[in-house]
Amino acid sequence: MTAVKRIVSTQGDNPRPETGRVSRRPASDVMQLERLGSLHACRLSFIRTLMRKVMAERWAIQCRVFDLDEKGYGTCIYRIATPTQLYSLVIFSQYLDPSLRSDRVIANAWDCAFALCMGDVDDSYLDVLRENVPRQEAGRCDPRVLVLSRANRSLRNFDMVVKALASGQQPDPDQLAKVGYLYRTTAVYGNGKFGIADYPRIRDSEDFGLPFSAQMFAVFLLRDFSIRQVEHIARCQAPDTATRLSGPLRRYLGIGNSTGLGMAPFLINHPALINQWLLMREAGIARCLSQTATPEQIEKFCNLLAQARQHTAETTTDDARQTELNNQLEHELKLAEEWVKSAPDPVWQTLCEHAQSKWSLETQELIHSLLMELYPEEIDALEQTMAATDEFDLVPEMSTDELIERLRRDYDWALAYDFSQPEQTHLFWYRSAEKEEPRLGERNVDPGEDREMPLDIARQTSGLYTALLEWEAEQAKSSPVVEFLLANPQYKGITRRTQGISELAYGEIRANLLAQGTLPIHLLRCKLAFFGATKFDPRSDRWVRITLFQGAPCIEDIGSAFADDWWMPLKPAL
Amino acid sequence: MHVSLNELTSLSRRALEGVGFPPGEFEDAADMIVWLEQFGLGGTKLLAKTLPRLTTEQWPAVQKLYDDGGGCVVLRIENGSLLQGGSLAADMACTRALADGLGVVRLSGCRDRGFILGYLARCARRGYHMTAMWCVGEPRRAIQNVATATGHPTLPTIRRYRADGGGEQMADIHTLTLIATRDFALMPTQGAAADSFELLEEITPNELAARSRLAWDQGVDVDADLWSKLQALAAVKLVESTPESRARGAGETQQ
Repeated sequence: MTAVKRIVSTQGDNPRPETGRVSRRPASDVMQLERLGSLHACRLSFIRTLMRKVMAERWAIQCRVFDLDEKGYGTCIYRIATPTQLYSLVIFSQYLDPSLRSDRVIANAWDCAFALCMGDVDDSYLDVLRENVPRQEAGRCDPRVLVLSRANRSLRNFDMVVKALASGQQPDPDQLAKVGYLYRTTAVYGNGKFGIADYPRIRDSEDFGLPFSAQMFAVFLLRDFSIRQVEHIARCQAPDTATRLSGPLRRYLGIGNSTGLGMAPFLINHPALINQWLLMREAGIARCLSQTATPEQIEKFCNLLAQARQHTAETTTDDARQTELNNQLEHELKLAEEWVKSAPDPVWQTLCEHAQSKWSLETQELIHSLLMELYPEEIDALEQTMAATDEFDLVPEMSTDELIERLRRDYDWALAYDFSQPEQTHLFWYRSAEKEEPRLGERNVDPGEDREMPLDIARQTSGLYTALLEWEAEQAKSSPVVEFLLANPQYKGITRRTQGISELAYGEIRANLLAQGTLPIHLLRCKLAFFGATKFDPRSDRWVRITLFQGAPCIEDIGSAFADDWWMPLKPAL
Repeated sequence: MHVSLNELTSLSRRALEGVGFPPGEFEDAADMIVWLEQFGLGGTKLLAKTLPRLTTEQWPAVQKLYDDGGGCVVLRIENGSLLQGGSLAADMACTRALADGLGVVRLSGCRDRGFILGYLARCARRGYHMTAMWCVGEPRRAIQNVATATGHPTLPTIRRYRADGGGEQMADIHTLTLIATRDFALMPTQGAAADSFELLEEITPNELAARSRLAWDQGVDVDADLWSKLQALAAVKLVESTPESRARGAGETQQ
């Protein structure tokens, strides 16, 4: 038996990773909204990173309490031992009135609610959790709780799987290819929400120091619970005939997630973090492009293209736009497979240049993700510097001349919009009184534009630029920014932001989010891709369902050999 | 009410945005409040005292009364709260320190000056050594607060002295004095003159760091009444929900 490998998370706010002889792509390419909305998961996605860590460190995960009735309602507690800490995941499964079933954040009841906690959970604390966790936003937790979440059963799958198992059959893989999960989470809270632990409490821990790793781990365990639960209900229904889910189908089941506009402000309000994610991804791509392709690597890449093509073919959505994109992706992946076999050196660079000139953004970005699979030794270390702290400081001594120059250099895209044109301010973002859900309104039609959320970065930048020019004209000279802000405090926020982001490689999404025709779903997909989502299934331009952990190892696989090749799984042949 | 620091930060920011603080200022003001709370210095209690006035006052203009064109500037805020743009006084001191070696800014007519503690560490992490001085209490029975933050560590040392000089001196209880430098040698020190003042309290960076760890680990207690008031102020920016906004605003019915 090999020694347990320890992976220590480290924090590196703004490292400048070496990229080899190929430069990173410029922000003017990378930060286009539509490109960000075409990203796919990759080796640096958080669930990939998490699984590498769990498998390498052989986390010991035990289902300590499984107290469910014949309908699957009750309490389940997992005990998790990492090399340094003990944790518990407590799940409460309960009856949900069908009339209350909703994936929206505004829902007030769910099929199950769960919490990832520090340490063991005794009976008295379990009572506290039972009182609060199922109430989610309406309850109060304490800092022993790291993650608070809830999920609803997939109506399309849950009963079908129970029925099949109860009759001694395996569920239809075709159906699981359409919907690859039994539960769909609708919010996964961390970082101090509703009284739970602040992120800095775990930021320096070796287990969950990287972004969203605690949240992703809670979701990973829900996946195991979902399988145990359907098997349990099937056994209760038909003890003589019931069977267990087969190994390939257990791994093929993931966990769904439904995400709406609530995710969009996060991307705007955490530019340093977004920069870090994209900086690592782009550095990884550049490192791959610097490599000389061997015949074996080209063959492996063709296999990956074929797998991705099949995975795409097995992805279904009711959304016409995404269906068209998937069809195009499938077609272009076939073209890429043919093209790469006779590509001139340097193969990877010429492939990406060809893709950029001929193929869709989805295809371009999937090729980048697949290239990273070839060079884990170049990529995986980057996962340890995916964190960053969004704390920009004002640079009060910067001259107004320099700030104007930086705006012209880094925000030329924002200054190009003409905000006197109604179509450029057609939309506005607001926060609804209903659970404070972010929503998008149409100006002069919907109420609330007087309470607009400040996500209008392009418009604010344009206003700052004009004000700076007027200030310099009045003063007849350049002056320190602090003098400008004493007279114009309303520009302090956008001044600090533009000063800070102009020091970063990426960070500002280059789009006017107020413009008519803006597709907010691009923002959601960008973040979800970094989570590791697959099978994007838009329900509108503001709401998407995805799948996490499909194909990932199960907890019974921990301790076995791990090839880390589970991403984009294919439908099992039974 | 026991809350996490992130909850306190988020609600304070949104409440001050609801009060009318502009972008940039509502974040800075909230962060100063939370900083004091995080380090056990009563940020929310101070906020509870000043909140009634904050919610009824117009944003006060910060006026420049004197500027020697070098390191000395006098600003006036017309009885406004330090939360209302007062952090720019510290930024002004830093700017002058960079240009002239030493920056001295006096901010007169200013309330709630203790909140400046929440901004000193931010200046210090930019490489400035900062000292803030202000008197509280009655003019003849005042307490002098002196906070010094250096680049290493960035957390300040806070000292409180009896500053009434035996009840004969009139202390200025409406002014905040800020001294900034990037040259450690120019920092004011607790020299012989200070020995004649009675030291009432000293809080070291180590003590502050321990308090901060406790707050991160266990959260903080906030008065329930203040919490409700902050929630009400934050709600000013919320838009009432309608069936249309529920469906269209979040895209539920679009395909």
